[in-house]
This record gives sequence, structure tokens and C-alpha cells, in this order.
Amino acid sequence: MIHLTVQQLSSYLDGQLLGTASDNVQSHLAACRDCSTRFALLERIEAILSDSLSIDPGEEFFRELEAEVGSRIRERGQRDKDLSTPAVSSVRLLDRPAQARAASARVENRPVNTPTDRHIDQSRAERVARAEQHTVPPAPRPHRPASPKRSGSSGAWLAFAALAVVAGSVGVVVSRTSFVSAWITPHLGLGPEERNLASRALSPPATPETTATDAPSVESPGDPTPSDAGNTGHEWNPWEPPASHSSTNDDEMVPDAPADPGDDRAAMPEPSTLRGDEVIATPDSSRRSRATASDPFRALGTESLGPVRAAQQLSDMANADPTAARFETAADGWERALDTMGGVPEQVSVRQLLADARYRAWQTEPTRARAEAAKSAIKTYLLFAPSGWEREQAKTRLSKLGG
Amino acid sequence: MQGVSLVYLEAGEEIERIAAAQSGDRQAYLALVRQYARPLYRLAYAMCGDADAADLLARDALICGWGELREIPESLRFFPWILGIMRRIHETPSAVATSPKATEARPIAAIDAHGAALSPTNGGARSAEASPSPAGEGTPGDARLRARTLASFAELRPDQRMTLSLRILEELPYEQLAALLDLSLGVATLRLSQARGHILSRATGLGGDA
Repeated sequence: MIHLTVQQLSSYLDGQLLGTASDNVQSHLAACRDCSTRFALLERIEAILSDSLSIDPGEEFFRELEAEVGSRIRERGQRDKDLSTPAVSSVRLLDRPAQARAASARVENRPVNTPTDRHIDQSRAERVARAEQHTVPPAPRPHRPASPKRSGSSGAWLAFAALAVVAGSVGVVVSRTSFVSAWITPHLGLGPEERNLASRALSPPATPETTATDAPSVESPGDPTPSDAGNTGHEWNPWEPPASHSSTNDDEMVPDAPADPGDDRAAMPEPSTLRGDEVIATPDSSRRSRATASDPFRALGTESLGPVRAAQQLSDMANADPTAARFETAADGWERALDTMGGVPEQVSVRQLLADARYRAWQTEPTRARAEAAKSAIKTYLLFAPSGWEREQAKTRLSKLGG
Repeated sequence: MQGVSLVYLEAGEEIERIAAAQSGDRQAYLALVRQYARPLYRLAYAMCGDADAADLLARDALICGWGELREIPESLRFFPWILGIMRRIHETPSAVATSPKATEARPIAAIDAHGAALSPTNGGARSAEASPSPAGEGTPGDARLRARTLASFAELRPDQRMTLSLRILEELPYEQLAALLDLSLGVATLRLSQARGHILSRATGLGGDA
């Protein structure tokens, strides 16, 4: 006897067979015990699945879901507005690490409320911080050693600090090339930096060129560049502004510039937009090279890339100076990045970094709220995580959290 | 069994809401969310097998949907489109292809020692024994069949699982099912029969096709 196929049974079960086809199946089932048994089992399986898959968490659940979606898209809409303003886009913040850090620092200084409030507050604070940066003109501007609006002591201190670091880095060159240094070396027996400072102190105080500049009264605007060393026949004038102080270089961060502690300060935004205590160390050049070498996010579109880069910055800051608040700020950054991503494969990496930041926030300063946040983030990551040590690490962490 | 939950908005009204949402009207979008969140969540649950994961998946899809709303094709209704986003999120290559046990996708939250599915609702676990159903539980044999059915459902490919879930949960006719999943009628029919054949074979030991 030829038995019915599963497809025939399935279609018959769903009432999709019509006319003769249906009649034929019906008559076969009446005559064939095997097929009728299989059909009965199919019906039972259908009932089991129907019973098990039907889930109704209740009206309240869907009201909450709707409210949360509403909240998230409202937040996202606000963020999109911010991002659409060139002066405060995440990409721009990435171009200005000092600003990004300053904004983040402001956020971190806010009081922490409940987890939800904190998230909203941080977003709001960040927006405020960004809005404050609207005062930064986007176009390159001429170099001004000190803003007349700032208090004299703070501006002078910033200028002094920047120049001192630059001077130190090129001190050796100065000592070997300047006629002043040549005189200092045998007579005073000073170290390179001391020699450099002494050489400037002993140099002629003014030239006609000097009087044309608006240099501050206490410091020289610059130091010799290495190219000056080979400039035979030309005596280096310490009061002459070096090429590195051109108006364009002052405004833009040069990512691939040699690692020089003074670079970040030179690339700092307009002094009037930053407090002195917000001046932070230079960006790690290795971090930048990571973006081109093994960067898992390089294929992302611009909408997602900005928030991802911003979150990377926040994570790096947290790793450099680990506090729970910093890790939480980083985690919030990753959540914002996640909002801009659909089902792209990169979201797995973002979820992993989010889980890592939440876990480390808990690890740094354990609280119940942080533990719950970390558990939730890790569980979500595990839904997507491929096999490998990262997955195992996440499982281990989850077990440590008691999840 | 909760009955069907997918009720389409009237086409004109839906088009209006989509257009309003595309121009930034969040309330219009939330009206769409309200209409379709329930079937979306149920399908997410069928895909994930975990209430929390389903919640996350549905929520992520709806949030992503807001960001991608401008890309919705004019010919497509909202539900198939948002369902596509949800499937895309769920079926990311890294989550499916490289997952250690992709087939262990937890189609049901848990299966207890007696083989009964624990279905997490707001009120807590609901065991098969506690809820009378046409499945005819009560004997150890029934519990075994239930456990094996759910386990074999978990082994289905995501596309098969989605097709079967839509058929079982929303009782969609084949034509609508095919349209919703952007399949031909033949492929939809085939997926259903393959899914059922697999479960029949694994759960009962009987060959899918005798």
C-alpha cells in the first residue's frame, strides 16, 4: 500500500486540500492504520505546540513595552538631533578627544540616582555638555596664545604648561645646536631641560619680529623644530614662532602625529571653552592604529560608527582610570551605539563590550543594581555570543554574579 | 491556547500612521507598536523560547524599526516588515551559524523533569499538567511526547520554526503565510511539511514519510 506523505497529512491537517484530494486522503486514513496513527500523532503534536507556544504576558506587559519603546525612540530622536548638529556630532567629539573627555567628565560628576534616572540624567547631562561646546567654532582659527576673556593666571598657566612640555622634548636639540647652549654647556653644566630654559633666559630679549607678535609676557611661543637644527648659517631665534604654531595646526588634532605629550594640549580647543582641570593626556596612538588594523567596526555605516567610536573612547578612559562611574558611562555609550545598529554582525561585539563594561562597573564597586545590570547585559550577550573563550568568560562572569 | 493575536489595521489607516511616523510622529509609531506588539512578541517567544529573550528581541526590533522606518517599501504592511527586522536580528550570522549549539535555541523556556514545558508568563511557570489541553497530558507517555516534541521543535531551522509558529499561533492560511514571509506558496507548504515531518520523526520515532 502506498502511504500518505507528510506533506499530504500536513496539508490535510491545515484544511488546505480541497475536493477530490481531500476525499482521497480521508478515505485512505480510514483504511490505513499506519497513516491514521501518524495523523493522530501529528494532531497531538500540533496541540502540544499550540499550547506551549501561546504566551500571553498580559496587558500590563505590553503597556510597559510600548512605554519603553516610546522612551527609547524619544531619546534616540533627541540624540539624532544632536548628532545632526555638526559641532556636537560624535564623530566630531572623536576628532577632539579632549572635548569628549571633558563632556564625559562633566557627566560623571553628576549625582547618581536610580539606574533609570541615572541613564536619563546622563543622557541629558551629556547633551548639555555637548550644547555647551557649541561655542567652539568649527572652522580653523588663528592661534591666540591666551584669550583676553579668561583670567590671566589660568591662561598663562596653560600656555606655560604646554610650552614647558614642548621645550623639554626638544631640549636636547636646542642644547646641541644653539650657540647659547654651546656656551651654557661648559659653563654651567646643566641638564638638557635646564639648559633649554637657561638658554631662553639668556637669549636676546627682543627683536623687531618679536614686537610684532602678541606673545604673552612670560613665555616664548615656541621652541626650535628639528629642522632648525640643520639650518646652518641661521641662528635660531627662540622668540620666532615655529612652523608648528601655524593657525591650522592649532585647531585640528593630527591623529598620526608622533606621540608627543604636548600634542594634545596644542590641539586643545579654544581655551575659553575648557577649564584648566579638563586638560587630559594625549590620546594613545596605538588606539588609533587599532581602528585601521583589527577594528571590528570598520564596516559600519556612519550612523553607527560615531556612537561606537565615542563608546570606545569612554571604555578606554574607564580602563585607564577604572571607576564604576566611568564604566557605567562607557556602558551607556555602548547602549547608545547599539540603538543605532540593526541586526548587523557588529552588534555582537557591541553587546560583548556593553556586558564587559557593566560587569567591570560591578566589579569595581559592587552594588545590587550594578549586579542586575551586569547580569542582564551578559545574558543578552549570551543570546548572540558565538562559541569561544569570550562566551565562556561571559558565562563565568554570570555565575560570579549569581545569574 | 490564547487564540490569534495578529489583527491587521485597516490598510488606509496603517498607511497614514506609517507616513506620520516617517515624518517623526512618535505617537503614530507607538500606535503601530500597540497594534502589532502582541503577535511580534509571541513569535519572538517561539523563536527564542525564553520570555526575557523574547521581550528583548521584540523590543530591539521595534526600536530598530523606528530607525529604519523610512526604508519601509510602500507595498509592504508594517507587520511583515517589522517581523523581517526581528528575524534579521535573531538570525545574525554570528548568532546562528557560529553558535555552539544553534539548534539548542531554547524554543521553550524549560522542560521539567517530567517533560512538561514551563511557559513563563507573568504569573510564573505554567506546567503542562496544570493546564488541561487537547494534547492529552496525564500519563508518562504523554509527558515524554511533549518533551520530545518541544525538543525537536528546538532543532528546527529558524525559517521552519517561524513558518510553523505562524501557522500554529496565528492560524494563517498558506497564502497569507507565504506572503508574510515573502515566500512562494510551494516553499511555504514545503517548510511546514518538513518541520512537521522532522518533529514527527524525532518525537515519535515514526518516519516522517512512511
